[in-house]
Amino acid sequence: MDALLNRASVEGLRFFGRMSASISHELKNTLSIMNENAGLLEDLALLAEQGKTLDASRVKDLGSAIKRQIRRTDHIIRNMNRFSHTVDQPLAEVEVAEFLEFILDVSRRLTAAQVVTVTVHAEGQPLMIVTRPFFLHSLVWLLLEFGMEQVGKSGTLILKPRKEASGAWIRLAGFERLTPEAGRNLPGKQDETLLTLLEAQLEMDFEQQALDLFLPKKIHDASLRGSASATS
Amino acid sequence: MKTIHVLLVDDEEDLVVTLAERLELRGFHSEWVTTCEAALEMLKHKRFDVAVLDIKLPRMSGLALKRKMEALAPDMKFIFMTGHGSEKDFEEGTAEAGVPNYLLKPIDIKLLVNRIVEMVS
Repeated sequence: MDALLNRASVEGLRFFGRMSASISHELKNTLSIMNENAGLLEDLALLAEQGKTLDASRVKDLGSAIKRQIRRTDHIIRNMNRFSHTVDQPLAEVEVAEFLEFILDVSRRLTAAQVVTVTVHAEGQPLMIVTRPFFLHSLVWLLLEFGMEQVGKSGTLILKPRKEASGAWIRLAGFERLTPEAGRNLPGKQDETLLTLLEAQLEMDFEQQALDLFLPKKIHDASLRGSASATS
Repeated sequence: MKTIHVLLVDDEEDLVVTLAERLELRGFHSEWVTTCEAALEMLKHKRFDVAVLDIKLPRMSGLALKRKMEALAPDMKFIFMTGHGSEKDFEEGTAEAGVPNYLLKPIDIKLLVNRIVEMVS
């Protein structure tokens, strides 16, 4: 298990770096927008000092635009905080659909860059599992990366969780070119490691053009349980 | 003095809208688009002296867009903007565009204005 965990940790660090870089990029964008809005406010104030009439509604709009970006930044930072803490939660109970939404929220910039929309189609009832959240996040992201290469013309992928007595299935659908040839490297070495750690199983449905990931209701191997669970 | 025409390309609409307005206040004629496709379409109908491009755009990088834009407007000059998400971004940008034409976000408007004027003159 140690060797497996070491391998997953090295890959996990790479994944963590990739997500962190994307988040920092997104933060730079919100800062840039606030910078331009604040700059425009200064420009308008300077013009007012020179005798030009200051349009109050314009000032109000710029204030609202800055507030919007502050809310966006706050949301990004909350996600970043939650993402960071998945690393120090060896095991945690998650609601599958909600966790998938969170994964998409964190990686929205990366999926948008590929011009792909990913949506979660949740069942009505909560679907709780005890899993390794960081490794689950890594695995779902790897599957999404694969999915974005095989997506159909609509540019839309769907994640659909489904309850089963022993756990949960997550179907990733929306492919157009999912063939045995395209899927021959799936699962790859990295996916295999994560599947083992998550006690999960991956299946390809070429007829339905979908991938199915099974996750147990509860991880049986408690060797990585640990006790750390920061919440700040 | 001849008005300088600037085209801004960034997928963050709130950014380009405001930046365009600030450039207008400084005497430039500026227009903006949020996609590579719209930028290329715009060049079929209008002439610009300078294009200010985000280095990371959906579907196509800013550098790839530059190459396509050059084919339509060979005399146009380019300035890149980036959130500098990685060293790779920076190296790619500096290698092809040259450091003076590369601005980090958040943009310093004075720096941008100086670069535009220098390039056109």
